[in-house]
Amino acid sequence: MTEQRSVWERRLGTPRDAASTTVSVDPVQRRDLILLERARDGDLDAFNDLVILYQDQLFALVVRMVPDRDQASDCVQEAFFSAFRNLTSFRGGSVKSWLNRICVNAAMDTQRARKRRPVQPYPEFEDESWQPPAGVEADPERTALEAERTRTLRGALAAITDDQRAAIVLFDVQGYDYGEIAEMTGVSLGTVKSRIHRGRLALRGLLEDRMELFRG
Amino acid sequence: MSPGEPSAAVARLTGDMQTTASHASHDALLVASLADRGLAAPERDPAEALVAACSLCAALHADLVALSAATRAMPTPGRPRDYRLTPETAAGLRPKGWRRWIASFGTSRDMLSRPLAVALTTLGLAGLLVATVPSVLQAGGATSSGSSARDVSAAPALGALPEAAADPTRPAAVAVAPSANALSPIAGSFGPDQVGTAFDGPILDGASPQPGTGAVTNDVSKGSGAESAATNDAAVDGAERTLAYDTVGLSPMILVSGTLLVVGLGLFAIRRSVRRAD
Repeated sequence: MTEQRSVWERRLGTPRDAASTTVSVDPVQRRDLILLERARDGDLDAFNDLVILYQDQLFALVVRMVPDRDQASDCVQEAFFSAFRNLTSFRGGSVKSWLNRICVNAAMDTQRARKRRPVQPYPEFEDESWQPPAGVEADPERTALEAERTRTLRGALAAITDDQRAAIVLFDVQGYDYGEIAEMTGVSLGTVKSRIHRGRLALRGLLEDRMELFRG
Repeated sequence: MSPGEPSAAVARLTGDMQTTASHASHDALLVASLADRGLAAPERDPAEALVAACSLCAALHADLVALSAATRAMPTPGRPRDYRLTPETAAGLRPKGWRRWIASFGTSRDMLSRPLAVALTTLGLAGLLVATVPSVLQAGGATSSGSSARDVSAAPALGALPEAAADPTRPAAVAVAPSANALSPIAGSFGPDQVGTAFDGPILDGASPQPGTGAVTNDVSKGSGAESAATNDAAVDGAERTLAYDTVGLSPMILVSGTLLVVGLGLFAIRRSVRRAD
């Protein structure tokens, strides 16, 4: 990690490069701000460095909000396009949160579009059974159980409201706190708490008959 | 109720049934909040008390914690492609021309548009107030002060009548006619000499726009025929100005102020739309 950081520092140059951005103590934020500043000045490589740093994380976020993997991928691509178009609109703070907010908005838009056009011409192409490749010594029974658990939970997550799903994914999976989620989704702290708690209760209600999959 | 019977309905229930009956009244959201990390003590204490007292609440809490953990542990599919931008894509995404100019409003680097919008809007509003309020007050004062002031204002219009009637190409003839023609129902009852005196009286105050009749205008021209041509020209110009202001209701100040206001509000709208697009 230290080695990786020193590589970035060598690539980014001296701290004077960050003079026009908000001064940040956090080295990760500082690195991101320098890259963003360079991207604003027309350096495409700097923007692509940001893409490399965050594309896995953003896809992991969006794919839990948009069940269809291809749509989630399109969503992330559109979010990066939007970020590039609006580089000048960034008003300081965390670049990661800014990218996450763009992605969450793109995912919500995709979900709304899905509801407007609910018919899927080829539903069999939806990859809901995806599982990470099992290791050599993996227990087949356990692997099957995990696959079943994931499929069940994914189905239940798809059944709750978009707002609740976004709040739960941001809180449980991405590890953001209430305040960060409120800032990202543009709602109050109380609304975020309510969405998370009601969403969990809704999940439990949907999975009441299958809870033995998750206990123990 | 016989002595051997329980007194309350709840007392008829066995232990599990009592728990179920009371659980329905428990706050499930409070239990759900306990599954969160970093819950503050004032909220945590009643939630923990509830979970400790009710076995169903405890089961609900355990289920919610298990679901939270399972959500966190869900495997993430690998991304299907690389999202880096090619130079061609980037060139297509950059706004060009007027879009680039518009996109520069409301950004963090834009230090000018907001104060400019505020200044233009303020100037526009102030200009509109300055231009309109005195005339409104003047109109109110004229209405309340009786006919004398309006008689004075009517004088140049009457002086303009002979020339206006003589020259049909002058627009003032059309504009003036309604003022004079308003007299027709009353003036029609006077003779030529009486009409001349009637114009000096307060009867003019009731003037209202009506289609013109040449007879009344001609009578007026007879009544003031001794005026010189130069005086008449000046009076006609004054009447044109006065009547043009009255009929259109716009002054240069109102036009300029309105333009400033529209431009200022437009700047605000552009800034807002750019920020929403972010």
